[in-house]
Parts: sequence; structure tokens; C-alpha cells
Amino acid sequence: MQGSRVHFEKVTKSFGETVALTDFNLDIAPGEFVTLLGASGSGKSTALNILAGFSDATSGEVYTGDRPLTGVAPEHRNVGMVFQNFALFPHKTVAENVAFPLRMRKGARDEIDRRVKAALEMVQLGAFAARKPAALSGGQRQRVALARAVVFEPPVLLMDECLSALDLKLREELQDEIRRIHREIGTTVLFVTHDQTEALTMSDRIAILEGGKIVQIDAPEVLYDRPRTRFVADFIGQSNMFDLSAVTDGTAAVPDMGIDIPVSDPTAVAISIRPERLRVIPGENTSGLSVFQGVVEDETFFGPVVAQTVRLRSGRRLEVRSQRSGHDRLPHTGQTITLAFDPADAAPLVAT
Amino acid sequence: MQDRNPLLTLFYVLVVIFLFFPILIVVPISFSSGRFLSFPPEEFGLRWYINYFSDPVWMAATFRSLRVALGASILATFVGTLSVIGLGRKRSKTSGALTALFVAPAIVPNIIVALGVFILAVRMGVSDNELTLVCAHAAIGLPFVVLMVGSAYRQIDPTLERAARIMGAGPLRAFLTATLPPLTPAILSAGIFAFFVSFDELIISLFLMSSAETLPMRIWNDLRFEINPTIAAVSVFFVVVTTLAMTIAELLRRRAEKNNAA
Ligand SMILES: Nc1ncnc2c1ncn2[C@@H]1O[C@H](COP(=O)(O)OP(=O)(O)O)[C@@H](O)[C@H]1O
Ligand SMILES: [Mg+2]
Repeated sequence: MQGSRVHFEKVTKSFGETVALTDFNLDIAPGEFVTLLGASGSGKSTALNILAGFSDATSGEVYTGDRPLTGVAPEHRNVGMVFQNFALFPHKTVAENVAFPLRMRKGARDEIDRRVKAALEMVQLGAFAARKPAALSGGQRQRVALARAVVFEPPVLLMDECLSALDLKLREELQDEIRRIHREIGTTVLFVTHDQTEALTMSDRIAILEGGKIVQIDAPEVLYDRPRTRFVADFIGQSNMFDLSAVTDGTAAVPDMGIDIPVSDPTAVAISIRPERLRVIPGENTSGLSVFQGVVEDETFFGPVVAQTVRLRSGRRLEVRSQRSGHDRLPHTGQTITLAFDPADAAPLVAT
Repeated sequence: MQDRNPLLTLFYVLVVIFLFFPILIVVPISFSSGRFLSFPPEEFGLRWYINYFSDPVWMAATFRSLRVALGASILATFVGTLSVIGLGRKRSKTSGALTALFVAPAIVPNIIVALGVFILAVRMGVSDNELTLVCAHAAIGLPFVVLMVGSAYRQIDPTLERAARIMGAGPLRAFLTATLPPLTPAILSAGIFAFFVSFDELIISLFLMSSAETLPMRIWNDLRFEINPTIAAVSVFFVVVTTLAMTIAELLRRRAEKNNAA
């Protein structure tokens, strides 16, 4: 099966006074796995519901393939969807639930049976076909919902926080399963979550939503290593952010560190450095690195990793994460240490 | 468990007697074989039951009541269920006002409804007509349907219908697949309630009907002229049927509640 391209073009959506989406643009390649990541109320469900046809955009247009969807009823959009609360029909068996979209498409009976069986095998529930949803665990119910959403091979699959009702272990199992199924059937996936780890591990690209707008869309590594704004740097992972003086000739001062560093983006107003990108320097071999000093104020032991809070001369604090694999002993609380980072690891942040 | 207060127990027993004595007193009377209504009866027999079931006037009234109640129940259930769906899940000012309107007949005294219906029916020349009575009884049964079906409807997960739609079902098909099955027990039990709202009803029937009697009218008219143990037999029959049906309705309602909670 081939996934289709999904395209949101200048979509806005208001509920009376509330603006749920503004200038929402998103172009998803066929077969791509894109995640909408944002806090509650940032407009994720609104975007999904407009694509599914459950609500109409106030302005703008949504396309699957080249087909504009305004005025097309949900049942004619040929889109699969998995809901957070499973939304299985309680009075139908597992097999009847999975057969439903095929029956709506008027397939031949033995063809339907064959595909239902295959879909249930795919989610490892072949033995549960005759059960009612009430006789299944939460994880099994969501697997049935997944089988039901893909059994008719929709070119687009939507999932709205579909794992957040499950506990961590089940969630991780189903994440693997969803990725495997995505690889197998090649459908385009638009996935919604507020869980950054889920987004980072599953997606080809992540779109960060803030207040109904996409503030950055990139591959997970790029989002993590090169956040473009304070909001994104803060939202994904942990980050040390420092204000910059104005960038001149590719250089800017970091007043809190008392050093100058090269900065590639002339519009940058701050930098973000991940705690694990900072190195605690015992010796003096610091050529090519930006070096500054601080006092260890607090530390947290994680086993292979130690997190330390370091106070700089300006009073600013930052987080350092160090692997304990080296031979060097890490300095402890109260000691003055030298820190270094590769300026290439400092992501320039622009004002929003 | 705490020790029961004997005074509380006594109070409970008295309340139960107070509530049930008027109903239970007719049971021994109905099985008496004396000629007059007396308590306690001296001899027992099925004489008055035979009398009831073999008297064409009593039977005609019984069947008329059953017919009217069935019609009123079906009409009230149909209109009430559609109203609930029309009002939708979300509460708004309009839906609140409309719900109040649908529920009004349960609050307005029946005698006032009776008067209104009577005046209207006479104007339109449709008094003493079973169909008119069906409509009037449907109106007073409607509030129960709107309340009972409405509360069940609001408990049904609205994403079920969305799921049906996105899988290819049109709006009607989605309703029939996702919403109707979990709603059915509530509809049935509301239907049974509406049936007995009509089956029990006397005042509106008295105003509206003259030649054609319903069962409560027959009892009423009979009581006014002679006191006859047939009424006791009718009453017991009435109580048994009502209790059975109400029990079924309540069981259905509970099952629906449990299913929706699951
Ligand atoms: N039906 C609605 N009526 C009014 N406001 C709504 C409705 N649906 C969503 N909103 C508002 O739109 C915003 C975005 O909501 P939503 O898309 O559900 O966020 P998310 O899924 O990211 O948590 C929120 O402020 C929410 O309150
Ligand atoms: Mg949401």
C-alpha cells in the first residue's frame, strides 16, 4: 500500500473567542510518520479533527493527495483513526469490530474474513477474535483499535494520544508495534501526543505546537540538537539557556560565562546547551573549546550518569550531565571546576 | 454492622405497612366468595376473578386500556427518543429550555392537562376518541422518556459514533451501530414506564372519554354505584401486572447503567 501526502494549507480554527489553530501549515510526505507534539490545549486534536472531518476549518484547506477535503464527510475521506479511549463497539466481538470498516466498503464475505484474520494476526490477537471488548485488557483493546484502523489499508492513519491511557510498559510495547506496522503497511501517519519521549522515539518528523501554531518542525535529532527557540529548547529535553550579546562578525559574548563564542546565526539572542554537551575539564587541553569556570553546588547520582548544578560567577546556575565511564574522578560539591563545550554544540536561539 | 435501633426497626415496619396495607388488603378480599365486599372474608374462591374475566364490559375496558397504553407508549418513546437526540449531548440555553418544556407535563397536575386537552378536543371534534386519548397519554408519558433516555444517551461515549463515521458509516448507520444498541435498554424501560403512565391514568380519560371506558374508568364508575369484590380481583390483577413490568423496566435500566459504565 502507498501512503498519501497530507497537506494543511493556512488552516485556522476558532471556537467563538477561542482560537484553536492559527496559520497552521503542514506538509507530510507519502508514508511519513509525523507527530504533533504540544501541551494540552495547543490545538493538536483540533488539527486531527479537521483532517478527519469531525469539524470544519474556519479558513484554509486540507488535502490528502491532491484532493481538497472541505465538504467531504468523514466516511468518504478514507482515513483510519485510533482514539485515546479505544472507541470499540462494546456489543460487537473483536472480529466484528475489525470487520466493520470492510463491511462499510461492501467487501465479499470471505475476503473480509481473510483480512480481519490477517489484521488480528498482525497485532497478535488472532486467538481473541470471538471475545467482546469488555473481556480484554487495555493494551489488547488498543491493539484491536489499531487493527480496526488499518484493516482497510487507509493511505492516512490518525492517532490522537492513543497510548496515553496505558501504563508505561504497555505504552512502550505498543510504540514498537505501531512503528513496525507503519513500516509494514507504509501508510502516512499523523500521530498526536503530549509525551516528548514518545514523539522522539517514534517519529520521522515532529511538529511542536504552541498556541495553535507550529513553532518548529524537524527530525527528532535536529529538534533536540538544534532547537530554534527557547520554547522548543525547554519543551524537548533539558537545556541550559544563556543570553547573548549582539552577534558581530560571527561572534557574541556570553556574559554569564564571561567568554566570547562563535555564533553562526546573526539573529540569535541566546544559546541552548544540553547538560550532556558540557564537559568537566580536569587538564588544560582546551584548544578549540569554549572554557569557563563555576562552583559545583549540588549533584544527583543516576548510576552511569551524574547530574551537577554549577553556579557561575554571575550567579547563574546550569546543569551538567557527565558519564562516569572515564578514569577521572568527578569534582564534588563545593569544588571549583572548569567547564568546556564545543561552540558547535550551542544551538543559537532566535527571539519568537 | 452496627446494632439496629429497635425503635428504628419499628418505624421501618410501620412505614412499610402504611405503604402496602391499602394494596395488600384487596388481596384477601379478591379471593373471597361472599357476595359483598367484606373484610376479613369468610370463604375463599376464585368467584370474582371468574366474574372479571367473563364480563364483556370489564374485558372491553381492559383491552381498551391495553390498546391505548400500547399506542401512547410507542408514540411517547418514539417522539421522546428523537427529542433526546435532537437536543444533543451538550447542554445549552436552548436545550435546557426545550428539556424543561418536554418535562413540563410531569409537573403540571393531570387535572389541568385534562382540562386543556378536553377543551382542545371538543373544539376539534375529536373527544371520546381513542386516538385522542393515545395522544394525550403520550404527552404525559413523554417526560419520563426524555429524562430516562436522555440520561442514558449522555452517558454514551460520543467518540463511538465518530469512530463509525471515519470507518465509512453514514450518519444514520453510525447512529444505529454506535449509539442505538447501548441505548436500547433505556428506550425499552422508558417505554414500559410510559405504558403504565397511560394504563393507570384516570383523570384525563374521564374528561375525554364518555361511552368508551378505560379500565380505571370502569373501576371508578363501578365503585360509584355498588361496592363489588370484582374490583378487588381487578386491582390484584392490576398490581401484579404493574409490579412485574416495573421490575423488568428497572432491571433493564440497571443493566444499561452497568454496560455504559464498563
Ligand atoms: N468544541 C470546542 N469548543 C470550544 N473550544 C474548543 C473546542 N474544542 C477545542 N477547543 C479549544 O481549542 C483549543 C485547542 O484544543 P485541542 O485541539 O483539543 O487541544 P489539544 O488536543 O492539543 O489538547 C483549546 O483552548 C480548547 O479549549
Ligand atoms: Mg487533545
